[in-house]
Amino acid sequence: MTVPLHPSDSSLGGRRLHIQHRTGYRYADVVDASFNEVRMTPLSTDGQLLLSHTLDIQPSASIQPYTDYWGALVEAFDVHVPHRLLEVVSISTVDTPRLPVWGPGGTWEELADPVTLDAQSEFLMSTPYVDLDLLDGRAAIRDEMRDQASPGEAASVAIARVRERLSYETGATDVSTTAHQAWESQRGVCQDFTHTTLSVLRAAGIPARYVSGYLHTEEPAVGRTVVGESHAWVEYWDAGWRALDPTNDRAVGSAHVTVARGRDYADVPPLKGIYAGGQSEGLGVTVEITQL
Amino acid sequence: MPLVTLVQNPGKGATVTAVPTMAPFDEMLLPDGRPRPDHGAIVETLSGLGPSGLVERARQRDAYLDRHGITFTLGERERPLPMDLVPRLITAHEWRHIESGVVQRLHALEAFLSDIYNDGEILREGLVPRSLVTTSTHFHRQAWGLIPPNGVRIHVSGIDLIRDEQGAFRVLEDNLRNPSGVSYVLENRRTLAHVLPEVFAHHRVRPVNEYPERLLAALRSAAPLDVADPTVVVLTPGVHNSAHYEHAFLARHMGVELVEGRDLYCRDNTVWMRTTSGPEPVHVIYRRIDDDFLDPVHLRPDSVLGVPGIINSARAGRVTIANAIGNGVADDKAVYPYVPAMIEYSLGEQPILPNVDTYDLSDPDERAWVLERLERMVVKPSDASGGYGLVMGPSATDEQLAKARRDILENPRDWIAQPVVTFSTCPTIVEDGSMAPRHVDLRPFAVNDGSSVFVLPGGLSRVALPEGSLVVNSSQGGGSKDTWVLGEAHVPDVETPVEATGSSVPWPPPPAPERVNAPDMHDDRIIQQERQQQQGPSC
Amino acid sequence: MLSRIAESYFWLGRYVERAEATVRLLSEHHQLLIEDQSVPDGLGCAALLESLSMPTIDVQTPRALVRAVVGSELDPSTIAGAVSAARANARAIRESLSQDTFEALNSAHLALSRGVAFAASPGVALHGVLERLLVVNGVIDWVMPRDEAYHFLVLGRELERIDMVGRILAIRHDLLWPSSGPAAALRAAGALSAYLRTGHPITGAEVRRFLVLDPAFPRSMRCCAADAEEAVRGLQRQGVSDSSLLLREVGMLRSELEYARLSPADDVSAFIDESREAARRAADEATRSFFRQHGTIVWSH
Repeated sequence: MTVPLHPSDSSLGGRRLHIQHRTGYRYADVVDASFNEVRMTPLSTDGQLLLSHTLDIQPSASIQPYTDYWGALVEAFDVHVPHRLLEVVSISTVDTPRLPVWGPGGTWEELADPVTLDAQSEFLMSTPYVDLDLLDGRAAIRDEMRDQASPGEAASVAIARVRERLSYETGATDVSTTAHQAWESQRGVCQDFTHTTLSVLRAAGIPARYVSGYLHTEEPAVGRTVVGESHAWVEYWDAGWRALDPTNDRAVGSAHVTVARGRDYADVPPLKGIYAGGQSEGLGVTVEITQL
Repeated sequence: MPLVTLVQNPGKGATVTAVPTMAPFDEMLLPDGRPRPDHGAIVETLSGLGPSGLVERARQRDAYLDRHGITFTLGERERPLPMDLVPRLITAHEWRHIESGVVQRLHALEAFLSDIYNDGEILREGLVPRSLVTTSTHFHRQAWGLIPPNGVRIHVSGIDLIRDEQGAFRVLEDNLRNPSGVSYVLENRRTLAHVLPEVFAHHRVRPVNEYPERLLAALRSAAPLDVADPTVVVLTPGVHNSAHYEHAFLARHMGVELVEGRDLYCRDNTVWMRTTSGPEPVHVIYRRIDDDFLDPVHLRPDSVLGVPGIINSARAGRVTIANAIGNGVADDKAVYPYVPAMIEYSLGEQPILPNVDTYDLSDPDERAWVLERLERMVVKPSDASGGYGLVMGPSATDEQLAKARRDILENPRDWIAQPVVTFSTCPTIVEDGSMAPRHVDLRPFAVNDGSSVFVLPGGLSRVALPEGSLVVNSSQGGGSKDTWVLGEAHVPDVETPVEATGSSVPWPPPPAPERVNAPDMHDDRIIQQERQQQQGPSC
Repeated sequence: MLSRIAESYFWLGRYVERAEATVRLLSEHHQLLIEDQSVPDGLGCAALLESLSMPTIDVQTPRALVRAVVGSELDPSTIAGAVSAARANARAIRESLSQDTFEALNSAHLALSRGVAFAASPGVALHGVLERLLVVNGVIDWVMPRDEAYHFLVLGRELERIDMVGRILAIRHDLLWPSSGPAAALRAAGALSAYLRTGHPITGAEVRRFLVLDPAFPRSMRCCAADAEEAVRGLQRQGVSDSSLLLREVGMLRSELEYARLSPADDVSAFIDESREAARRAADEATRSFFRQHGTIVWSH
């Protein structure tokens, strides 16, 4: 649990954000049927509060909501009318928490406790995206991580080394790029920064998970609509979950909206589905965020 | 014969002691060659036929199996499941023990599955390591929070039992996904009665043919709650599946449709079946295809055997999938050592049927100990069934042992090791028509309808046909035996009058004894009414 | 009844008919090429292959022709392929099919895989296969209840029969082998003795008229259309879902053939292609209304 310790600091106060997330697919041929799942509902968690949420689907479909294993709110629907375009618009209003100020972290010994290891085992493993052997042949970084006095300091090192290695560049990677590929190409977007950081943290024995959500990129300004981002960052376990944004190297708090958490991107995709028929292309994603 | 329940340290940290090689327990003959009690008549009848008589009966048996197309498919070929003519006997006393042990185990396994796919209390308590569950190939997070309408996940199970050197029954492995073989239990009985009727003369053998009816009743009671007259189907991967014969057999005997994935589709969380009179809703799917292929939306996206959307339909409570998705985590062989602890935890009882000692290869000490004496161990992949990937230490080549060692070191979680248990033997007719001891196991089939677990009195006895072999899987060349559970000796026969003609039954029937349990009494009354109707003038 | 099962019956009917008709046709054609040398072998072979929509290259001798038309299990327009496809469909419905049907199909399959094409006398070997296929149809007619399954099977069989008669007539025996051709066409349709009883002369035009319009010979297109219509009516009596378009298709074909406006001198050639086309439309309609309500689905991400 990320519990802010000094909630009195008003300059770090929370925001009320109105988020409109629009995405979908365009199909080359008419599609008769498709089955889809959307993970775009902000969670009410750790001081964040969801005030309202609607999902519009074209062609219209009835929605079955459920909570998945990782705690995300999923909206499932199937479309059975012939269509060439599937559009999904998720509209949410959410209060974000104040920026948390972290208390002292735990120790390496606490992380090595068998009970913790077992409880967090899913966040310590390699996945198709996250690669625990990422630093093979880079003993310097590994040693540096290990030499830190505490897991918290090691986490800062991880962020620093990932940011040294990767430069932010859109279009260089895609949704299927693994941490290993991003590390080798030295470029990527938030998803790649996140998978890479997860790899470095887990390799050092620090449980870490993928967070999918939104980032309000502006300074607080009521009423102005800005084009935001579908964003991803990291939470690591250090006597509690603590969030880090390796892409922006900034504190995670009032500008971040948490939607879903998992081992990697595959556990939290905002839209996934299958359909019957030819080729499809993504419609792209637009996220508009307005501070209320 | 008194049942010997061996005291053992169940589960993790199984006693690490050298196992002396002992003679197998023979179920029919005493060490001095005389038949055991109850077995005399069979031995006499078979001996009376002589080798040439037995060979002739075996020929008749093959013709019968062939004529009725009773086969399983191995590779590309269909072949009859070899059925031995010597039946296997289980006394009423032994059966009570097996039955109660199987029921107990299933209750614990149901509780375990229900827990890990919901709040995970067992994991928080540390009873079973969370990492063991989450690394199981068959742990499907997609099934998390999916609550079956009547709470049952293991509608059908086949828990494999063996008898150790002392004759005690032990659980060898649990099969909670798609255990197959029950059709052979029924067919073996019919076949034996057809070609060797005289062996039945001296025994009261409990019938097995009520299985399809019990299964259908259990499937119907698993239906979504708001469906009064549910439509049940059997879902098969198709004619090329090794167990297709059984799928067709069960559908036919339950009187339900045998469907393939392409016969079904989901729309707005309802599952429909494509028929020539238009779509018909389906409420319960007894599926005989593996989890991974069930739903390309959530599981293997390339599956063409499944039905897209079926998992969310089940989650919405509009259809019941039997057995439930994700049961495989409970029959994972690395979870098996923890089943006795589950029994103690969820039922507060001691296990009636003990496990076979199993070594946890992710524990460095146990691993080292096992690797030192690999040639005396059985090594099994923790997530497979059907005997695939099994390495039998004593008969393995050096090469196979070296490979097993590498595999274990590389991925200890994926393997378990057990000492070689010399399981019991039964006399079996071998090629020249003489009888010789062959090793057997027993798979009792159990059906859970949500209010009780029915264990079919019989079960599949699989026999390892090559001399000395301990591998009984039909996919590995095993055969089977008709398995007789003997009736209780002196139970008053309350059922018989019902079948008799009207004149011999008192009218009106005597009142049922008073019951404390109201629902039961209600049930009783329904049965009574049906019985009364059968007493009408036309009978 | 499950749509998939219904479709298997339909195709069982079609493939058994295709196999049987093709065996008969090949057998007669082989005989014709041997007996009547007036046409070069290459041309004679090509005539049959073209009518069966098969490639003609490299087939220059009667023996090569037999090999090509017996073909392989992989090509369902060949005999071996049709038998194999019939067997695959029978396997899918084995539960509801009598054991004899399956066994007869199986033995036809075995006979073919043992190499009819290489037999000393292809005619004799083909006759063996024909006999087994006749047993299949015989068993079906004798033991199958006249239920939905039967009507689907008959529908498939009759539509295929119309197509196969069309293929026999497409060879134009009368033009290539003016003396022995027309009789060979009748034999290929199993119609020679029925025809002789009518007392008509064996000419190309008369033979065509007989195979298209005869009201009594069961393999004439007209009789096949009537049987197909009766099968659809049978399905309607069994309460299948909407089949009015299918009924219209086969009913119109039947009435066109039954009430054809023709003087005795008119040629029936125009009816042949039209009837085959109508049979194809009827098969598509059956597929659309009963078998695949949602198309074959391939899922993508």
